[in-house]
Amino acid sequence: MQRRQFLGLGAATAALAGIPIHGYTRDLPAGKVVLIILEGGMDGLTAVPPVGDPSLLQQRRSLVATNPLKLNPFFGLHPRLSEFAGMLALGEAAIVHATSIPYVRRSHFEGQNLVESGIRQPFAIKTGWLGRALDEARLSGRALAVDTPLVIRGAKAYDNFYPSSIQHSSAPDSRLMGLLSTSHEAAATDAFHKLKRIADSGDRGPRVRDPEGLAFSTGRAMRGPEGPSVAVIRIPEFDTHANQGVDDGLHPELLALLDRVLNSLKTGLGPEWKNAVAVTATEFGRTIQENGSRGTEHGYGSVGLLAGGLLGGGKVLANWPGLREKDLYDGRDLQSTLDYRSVFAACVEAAFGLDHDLIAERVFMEPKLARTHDRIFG
Amino acid sequence: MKSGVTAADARIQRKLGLGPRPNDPLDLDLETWLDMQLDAEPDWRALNSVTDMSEQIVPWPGELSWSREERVARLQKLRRGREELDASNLPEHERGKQARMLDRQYQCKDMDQQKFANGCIYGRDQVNRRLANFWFNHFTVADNGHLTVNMMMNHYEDAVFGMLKESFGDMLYASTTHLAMLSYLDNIDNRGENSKHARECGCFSGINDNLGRELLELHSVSPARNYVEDDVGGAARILAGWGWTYDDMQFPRGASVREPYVPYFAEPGSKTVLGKNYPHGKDALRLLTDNLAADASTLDHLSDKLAVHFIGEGRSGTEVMRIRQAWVESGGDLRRIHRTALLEAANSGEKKFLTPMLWIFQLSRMSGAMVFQGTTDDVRSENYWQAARIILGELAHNFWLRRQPNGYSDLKADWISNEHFDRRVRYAGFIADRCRPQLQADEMIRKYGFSDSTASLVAQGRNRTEKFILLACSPEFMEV
Repeated sequence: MQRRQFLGLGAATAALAGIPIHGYTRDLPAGKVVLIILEGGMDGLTAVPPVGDPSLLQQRRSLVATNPLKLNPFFGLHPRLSEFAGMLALGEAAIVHATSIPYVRRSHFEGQNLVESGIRQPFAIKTGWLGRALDEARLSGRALAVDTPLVIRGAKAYDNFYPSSIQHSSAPDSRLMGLLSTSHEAAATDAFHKLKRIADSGDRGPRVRDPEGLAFSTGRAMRGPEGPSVAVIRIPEFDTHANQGVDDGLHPELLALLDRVLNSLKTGLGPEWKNAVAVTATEFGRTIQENGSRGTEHGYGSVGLLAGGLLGGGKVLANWPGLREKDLYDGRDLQSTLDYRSVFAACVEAAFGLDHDLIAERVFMEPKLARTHDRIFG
Repeated sequence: MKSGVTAADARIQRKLGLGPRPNDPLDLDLETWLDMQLDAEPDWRALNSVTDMSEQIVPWPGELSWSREERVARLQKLRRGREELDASNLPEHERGKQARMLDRQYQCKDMDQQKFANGCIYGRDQVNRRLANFWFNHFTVADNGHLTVNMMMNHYEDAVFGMLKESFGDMLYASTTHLAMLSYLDNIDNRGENSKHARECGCFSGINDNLGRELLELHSVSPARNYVEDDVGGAARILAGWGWTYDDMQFPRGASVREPYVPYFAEPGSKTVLGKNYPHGKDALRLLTDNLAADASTLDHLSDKLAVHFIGEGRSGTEVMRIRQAWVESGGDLRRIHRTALLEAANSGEKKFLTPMLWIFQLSRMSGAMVFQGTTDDVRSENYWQAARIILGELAHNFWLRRQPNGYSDLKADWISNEHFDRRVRYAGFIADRCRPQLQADEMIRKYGFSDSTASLVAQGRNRTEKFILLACSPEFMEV
């Protein structure tokens, strides 16, 4: 395996957005994008260990699963990602390794903001890359979370779904919501208007709040051309500073949860799975070496997992930087050799048919953003 | 500073505090009222029971308040009880049942949340309580296991509330060295690579930089200071030895609950953070927190954060600079800083959107409704849906929930969604129907001086419940 050569080898809360505008004739593909945000900084070297790199065991023997699933001679997969492995085998998944958003300061809060805003400067913009992509694709819509994640905020506000469970309370009344909608301004008006619309329709959706249930209901809600085009699912607690676990424990459990979320999403989407892509995102990876409390510290490069019928064959893509000390970022982290926003851009291109240059310039404000669509989806 | 606004009316009390209660005066001179509030001692009062026919306010019972030492002792009993259970031959389901009983017997978090919410509603110290909640969010600790969650309320009372009249440096040190923080940000696992522990026992030992990083990033200078990894590492090495693990609750020699420093785990040698050198030993941390507290970036960061919280997102540069100036002139004296920030907020025309916790506390106080369970209510059975953990949890704004160390957002956009508003509408209706408000919507409009436009909106309600919902969710109530 040569270094720096692409290898073409074989949650939570959720938010939905992107219902097509009625009356707008679209000739673009009506694909679906599900962003799964792995909050805290996911250890990509544990999820997808480069078992063929001789430095792996020298650097982090204690963090490599005992029996990783073999993807190819170079990369393995953590055994808790078995459903995802099945998707890879079916050609419905892909992996992009040694990648990160362009951010090296290792702050969760700046990093998470950038994962969602899609630009280079933290807290510099009030919209998110999926929201701007929906604007460009002329899709408006709705979002499964109590809040509306930054990533899907665009020119319009999107409604959301995360059912309350308040004993002895009554659902909002249509007339009252109309009165409140007209008395407020801007986003608050939109939010009360959506409550009115929900009250008018009588549709409150499924009342589930566990990650798998949310993923399933998210998928179901996205079915069909009238369903939302975008969903966001959050899986927190990847910030594994202590007792990260190898075969069992916190990090493996989180990988297993991600695996179940992906599977539930696929089941929920049903026939729509063929038009969908789910993509993970995390603010940064973890240090290559274990710290003093059997955990890892904030790092840089990590891995992205993609799943869905839009993908063309199970692939592991990486411009592998190596794990020798001189190969590491700051001598401590996996180097990133690909701006992960290129992967986001490829998903937008595949699902919504937008031109890459437009996506690069208008969605990510980065005209020179590399195009990776064909490598991932081709 | 001389204030342009003269009276501490309902709007001012809502802007600076948690809002007036039905019998509170609304015509006191602003600065007189503010000084009384800032000088107030913590006022721990509570409702007796939500099942009482009328409101009975009682002191929070001493037997439901635990000191730092008592909390650790309860944890030790809980741990021993669990060990005995694990060693027993009881069937799995019986062990689970008894484990839950042990939890209920010794954990503090349910009553802590009741005490917190009741204090916010019945305390006569609404401004200090609002300030304490601001700093409790700044120095976030949250449920990540028994040690942290059992110590959280003590962090609130001792390291935050108890420091409001001290300097920011005092608060920073008190918060950093509190067991809740040391546990929440993994410093209990932070042990020097060259510590005596590492040398003698050959055990796994090394630095965990979680608290060191957040001490710089979140609690003091912020990333604007452009610190580098070596600074984070230096801070982490100074912190090595502070705290110890839950599995080792028997207080290593030289440590105490109030000063949990264990020399055995400390990293020897001097350390460097932001160009300053620190000697080996316990005192290095106080030097570090004092330097961080006085750093210009900390003043910039926190002056602006206070301005956003009390004035609003549209705060002006001048307002922020005046707060910063008070910081400089007072040497970080929190009372003076707070007084300046609050007077700036009182005189600002900027509106502040009420986060869910602030909204429900203000609605509960101003209506005089019995919303949260009191001291004699059972948090797990009758009326459990009025437990603080349930209400604040449903509002997705509960300090005791698992969350990240940057705390809850203070930005309006993060709290506006149909699901957030669905919860406000539902709780407003619930309070009107089931919590016996002393003041109905029309009475609140008159008493608290809500505007004609709000009165017109509320007049369109067809009954008391609808009017109550319309007032509680009106622009004027949600944003002040």
